[in-house]
This record gives sequence, structure tokens and C-alpha cells, in this order.
Amino acid sequence: MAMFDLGKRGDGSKPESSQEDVKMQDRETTGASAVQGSGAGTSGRGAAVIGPSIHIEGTLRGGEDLVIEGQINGRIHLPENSLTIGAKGRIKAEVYAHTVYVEGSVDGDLYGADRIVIRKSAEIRGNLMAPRVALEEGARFKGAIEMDSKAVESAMNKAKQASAAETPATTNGAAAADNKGASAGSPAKPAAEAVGAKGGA
Amino acid sequence: MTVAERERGRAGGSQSSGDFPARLLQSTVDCLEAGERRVILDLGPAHPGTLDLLSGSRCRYCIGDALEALTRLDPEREPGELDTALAQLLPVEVFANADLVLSWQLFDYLERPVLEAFGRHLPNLLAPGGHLHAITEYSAGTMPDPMHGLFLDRDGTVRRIGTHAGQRRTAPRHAPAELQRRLGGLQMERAVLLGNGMQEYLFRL
Repeated sequence: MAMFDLGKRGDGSKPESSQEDVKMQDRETTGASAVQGSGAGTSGRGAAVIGPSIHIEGTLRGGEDLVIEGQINGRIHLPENSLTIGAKGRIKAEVYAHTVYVEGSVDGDLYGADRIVIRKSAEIRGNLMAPRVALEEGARFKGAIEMDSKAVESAMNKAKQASAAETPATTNGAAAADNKGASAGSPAKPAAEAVGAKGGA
Repeated sequence: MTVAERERGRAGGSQSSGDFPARLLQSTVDCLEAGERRVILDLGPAHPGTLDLLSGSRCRYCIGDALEALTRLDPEREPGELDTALAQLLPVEVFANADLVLSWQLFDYLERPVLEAFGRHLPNLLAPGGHLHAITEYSAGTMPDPMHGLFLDRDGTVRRIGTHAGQRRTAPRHAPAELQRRLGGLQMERAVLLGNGMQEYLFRL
């Protein structure tokens, strides 16, 4: 099979979807988003929000959907949930989530267990690993997108294992930040404080 | 259906004047061995149509998004400085081992010292036996200034980003032998003159 043989693409184990397909799915799943003012139209209802004034250094873990409008340096792990990096979000981290939507700035690798959606306002420098990747025209991206389903699966497993291996006990249903560094010059803070004043973290 | 077949299937459709099939590119990508994972490095910006076209294929699609920055490099800089700038714009940690590099219109917009620096950096990016596919102006005396890039759309057609409106500058109209000389360690395998006056090149490391 030719690499670009469009009629026989893929190994049949995964559904193929075009950019239009993914966009349509996004609209269907996000039309009633409860998030206001940030990440609008991208994540699910009632997502926790990290506001623009919040700066977190370290590992962020959680069990609910999350919208980030602040700044995160380190690692983000939301294996069962969606992560939206809002237009004001500034991420310098390795990200692992079920679904990743990017509207803001990312410097780091993104792993999406289901898919990654890059909006036109996004600026990304890093690599993308996901079964499905959607990109809007106008988005700035510099890096690599893995298209090979086997390579994606292998990389996802490695990322998941690596992330899980260093996981301390995580509070169910709530985001937790393992502060390894200081935020705005302050020493490590309790997780709830570090995650911020907005949202239900 | 190959890229070429898909493109032929839409012949007579709504192709605009700026669109064209790149036969050499199509045959190159279709002839890449079946079953093996390939690395494709596009020096241009990310485009959803290209991503769509490659979706599901066994490849790693690297997006250099470096055309604009490359054309802005100062040709008066020392060769060593240009080499450093190239290494920063296209770091080997991310973009090495490419089986195919897409370099469209870039050569028309680079001054000679920058073009030669690019030629020195290419072996760092290409896998052994890897190819460089280039498109340049051949017949036209002028070309858009700044560059209006090209991209590979989901139907296999090469399309122009933006329009021709605006300023134009003299096209260098490189001779094939001159390009080969500037690109140092690469050998030209094929060159095809397209119906729209542009030229496709295939170089091999």
C-alpha cells in the first residue's frame, strides 16, 4: 500500500475522520458549554477554570474537565478528562489528557488519548500525539504530528505509564497541583490554593 | 486511491488559476515504500488540508514553519552565524531523519549565502537517501514579495496561500546546475517543468 494511498489509509482499527468531521463533533459536544469568557465552545459543562492571574509550577493532576487561562510550567495529567488551554493560557509543560483543545500558547508535547484540537488562535511549539488531530487554518504550529496509529499508541502508553509512575495519591474529582517550584516567587503552596480562586478545583 | 488519482478525479472541477498538480511530488510520495513509517518535513506553515491528506498514513508529519524566518536571515552574517541560525530555526532534535523535505519557493527568496547555509544544514535533517522536493519559479520574470507560500491540499493539489495582489520582485530563475551547486551534498534526481511555468525538483542526499 502506498503511504499516501488515500483509499486504503490506516489499518482499519481506528475510524478515520477529516478536519470537518472533528469540527462537527466539537460543535455537537460543546454547544452548551458552561464555561464563560474562556475556552468557550470547547470543553464540557462545568469545567474547572484556572484564571489568568494564576501561575502554577509543577504537576497538575485531576479528575474533571479543566480550562486553563493562566500559566502552567511543568506537567498536566488529566487522563479521563478534557483540557482546554484558553486563549489567554500559557503552557510550558508536557500535557496528557483525554481530549486537548488549544486556543492559547503551548511550549511542550501534547498527548491526547482521544484527540487534539488546535484552534486558529493557538501557538504551539512541540509534538502532538493523538489518534485524531484537528487543526484550524491560521493556527501556528512548529513541531511534529505523529500520524502512524501504532506509533501513537506506543507513545501514548509510554506517556501514560511515565505519568502514572510518578503519581502521588490524587484527590478524586478534584484537580491537584504538586508544587515543585515557587509561583511568583512564593514557596510551595497547598494544592487548592495553587490551583486558584476561580473554578471548582 | 493515490494522490495523483485523487487529483485527476477532480480535474475539470473548481480548480482556480493558482492551483496546480505537482506530478513529481505525487509520484514521489506514492512511491515511498508501503508499510514503512516515513518522516515528512514541511518547511512551510501548518495547514489543515495537508494534515487531512496525511491523516491515517504511516508517517510523522513535521512542520518547520520556517519559511518566513529563513527569508529574513541577513545574508551579510558570517557563515558560522548563519549555520547557528539555521540550527535554531530547524533543530535536528525535532526535525532530523526526514525521508522527504518539502521546500517550496524557498530557494527563490534566499540570498546566496543563506541558500548555501541551508544546503549545509540539509544533511542534518535528511535521513540517508532522503529526498528534498522543491518548487521554484522558472518562466515568470517576477514573483510576489513577500512570498505567498504554497501548500498541499487535501485533494493532492498544490495551492497558493493568499493572492498575488501586492508587490512583486524579480525572480532569480535558478538554473538546475546552480541549485545543485548551492545545495552541496545533494544530488538532483529529477526536474520537471510544470505547465504554469514553475519547476519541480527532486534532490537526494
